[in-house]
Amino acid sequence: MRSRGLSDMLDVMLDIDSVTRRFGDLTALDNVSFSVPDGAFTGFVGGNGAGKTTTMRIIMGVLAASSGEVRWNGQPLTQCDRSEFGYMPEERGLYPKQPILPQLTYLGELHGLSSRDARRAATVLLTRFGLGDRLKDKLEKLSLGNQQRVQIAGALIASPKALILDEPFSGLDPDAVDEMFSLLAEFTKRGVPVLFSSHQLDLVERLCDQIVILRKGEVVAKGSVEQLRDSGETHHRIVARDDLGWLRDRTGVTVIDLDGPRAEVALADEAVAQAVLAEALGRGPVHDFGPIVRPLSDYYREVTR
Amino acid sequence: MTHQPIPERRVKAAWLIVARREIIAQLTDKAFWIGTLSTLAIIVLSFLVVGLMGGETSPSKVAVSTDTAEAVVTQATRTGGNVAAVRVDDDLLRTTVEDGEADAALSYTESDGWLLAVKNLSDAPDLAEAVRTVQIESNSVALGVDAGEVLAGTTLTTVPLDGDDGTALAIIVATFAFSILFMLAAVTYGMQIAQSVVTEKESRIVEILAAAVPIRSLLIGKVVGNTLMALSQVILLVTVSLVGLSFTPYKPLIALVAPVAGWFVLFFLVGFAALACLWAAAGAMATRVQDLSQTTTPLMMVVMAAYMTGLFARGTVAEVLSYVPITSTVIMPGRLLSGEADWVNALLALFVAAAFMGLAIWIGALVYRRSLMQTNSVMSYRQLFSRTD
Repeated sequence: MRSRGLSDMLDVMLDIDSVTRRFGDLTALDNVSFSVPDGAFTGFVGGNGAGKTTTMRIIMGVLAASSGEVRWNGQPLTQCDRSEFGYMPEERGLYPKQPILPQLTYLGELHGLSSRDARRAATVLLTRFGLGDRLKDKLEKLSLGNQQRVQIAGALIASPKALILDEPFSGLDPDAVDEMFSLLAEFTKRGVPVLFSSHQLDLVERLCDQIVILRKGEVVAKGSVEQLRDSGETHHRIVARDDLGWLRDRTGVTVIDLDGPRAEVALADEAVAQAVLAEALGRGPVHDFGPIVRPLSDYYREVTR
Repeated sequence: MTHQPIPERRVKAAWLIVARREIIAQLTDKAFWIGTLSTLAIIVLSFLVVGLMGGETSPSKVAVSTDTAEAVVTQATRTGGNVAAVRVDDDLLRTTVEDGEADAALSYTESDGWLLAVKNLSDAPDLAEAVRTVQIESNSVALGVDAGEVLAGTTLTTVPLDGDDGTALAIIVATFAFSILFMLAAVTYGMQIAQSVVTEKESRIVEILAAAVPIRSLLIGKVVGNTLMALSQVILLVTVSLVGLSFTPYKPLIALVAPVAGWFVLFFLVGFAALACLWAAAGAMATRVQDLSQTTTPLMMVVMAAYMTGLFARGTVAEVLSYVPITSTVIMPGRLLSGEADWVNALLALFVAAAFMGLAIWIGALVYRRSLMQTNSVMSYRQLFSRTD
């Protein structure tokens, strides 16, 4: 990728550098490098088996990398750093037969909180998720959506300094997604880097500052949403009163689609664009002229094809 | 959340937190209390039964009609005979025995000397020695010699060549009891540890735990928590048993076992902790609770083998095995008890066991780490040592 990511502009806290992971003959991750900048949402997208979960497990130290390393503020990431990360694994896991408050308290303590602080933090989070009156309920008694909330609370309990969330929004209804997102935004405002994977491209496009696209274990694209969208050939739309057939004869203009007064064209550069606009105006009124904003999914299909 | 101050992180050993959770999880588990209380109930009941049935057997009643005869019975009790005199009139001696009010009747006539009348020969209390002593004393008085001088040098003390003073059986019983306790604790708590590991694996929380704390801390926490629970349960059972024992004729056993009780505890602790690590590893190799029987079989065999050798090993084999980890737990305390081994041998065995414990923790942590992320199938022992994490 040529484009400069947000990571070049913001402070980079979490750095994944040339990470490769092999399972026997299978190379699950091949020289994966990207950064998760401070205080921003980084969306991690890719198809099934692209290596998102493997990457996150390596970041969290649950799996070892075959080569390459993960750095935190320039230094190799240690167990000590990781104990201050919030992690939500792809395969959800908590104790199904235990009440939710004690198990979140336990997680908080394992993350280094005193038992009183952990209990308080658990109560605050669960109350915020509308589970304040169910603190003594066993996890398995909650609905799947509520179990998901408890799981997210587990990742947030100890005021993490980074968040690694594997598919955090799957299974949540749109309202819950917004609620969860606004909560996560409080963390990014504090400067916490958030890396989350998702299959829902529209969601990633809406929520993320930066995107990393993985395909078969390789990073095929990374950058801000705008950069990725604009990185391909940009098309322009022209809508005028009169027929636009004359566009076919101009140099630097490739007609993609032409239907009387409506056209979609690829323009060689800005000068051509200005010339075309001037000529169109000279021939009569122009109702619309401008670049076509492509949805991220178009771009995604292009790079992961 | 933004207004909430970031709580201070205290560096606290993670294994302590894990150990505490293990203990609390068990203390709040109904099954744990049912198990513990029913075991206690069985022990108390069995002592009640022993106390009621066996207990102190009532002394044989010997009907007597003269002071001399009574003196014989008194002399017999003095040398350990379990007899008691019943004073009756001379002409009632025979009927008392016939009616079953006394087991025997002791009388003296000039013509026949001492007579002991009994209903069944097998019920006859042994009064011969007492009769002889009393008669010699009275004859001495009649002859004007000192009874003490006449009796001097007539006592016989039996000395066993192997130094056994009658405690051999007691040692076997104590070793047997210890082996059973160790095996029971190792199996119940071992399974408990393995289950606790596989449950976390099955519910996938292990990924969160492993990301938060080193896997070794998880392992040590589980081992410490469960070992403490096992030890306190064993101490509870042993205490109740000893108290129970003090109400039975086997009371002297307590004095015999007491001096080495500390060794029992130490060996139990080290042996159990080493096994516990391996149990955790066996738990980690399984994917679901149902797979446990498959992965724990080798350990079950080790425990049973240790138990059996504890019971049956003798001589050189026992001596060698008393230094081998796991079997030393069962055998060394018995050898200490019998005086075959002293504290130097015990320390050496303990040291070997502790070294083995270190190795077991290392192996356990390795297995734990390598197999934790394997969630779709049971891990084979071969896979285990050929894989990288």
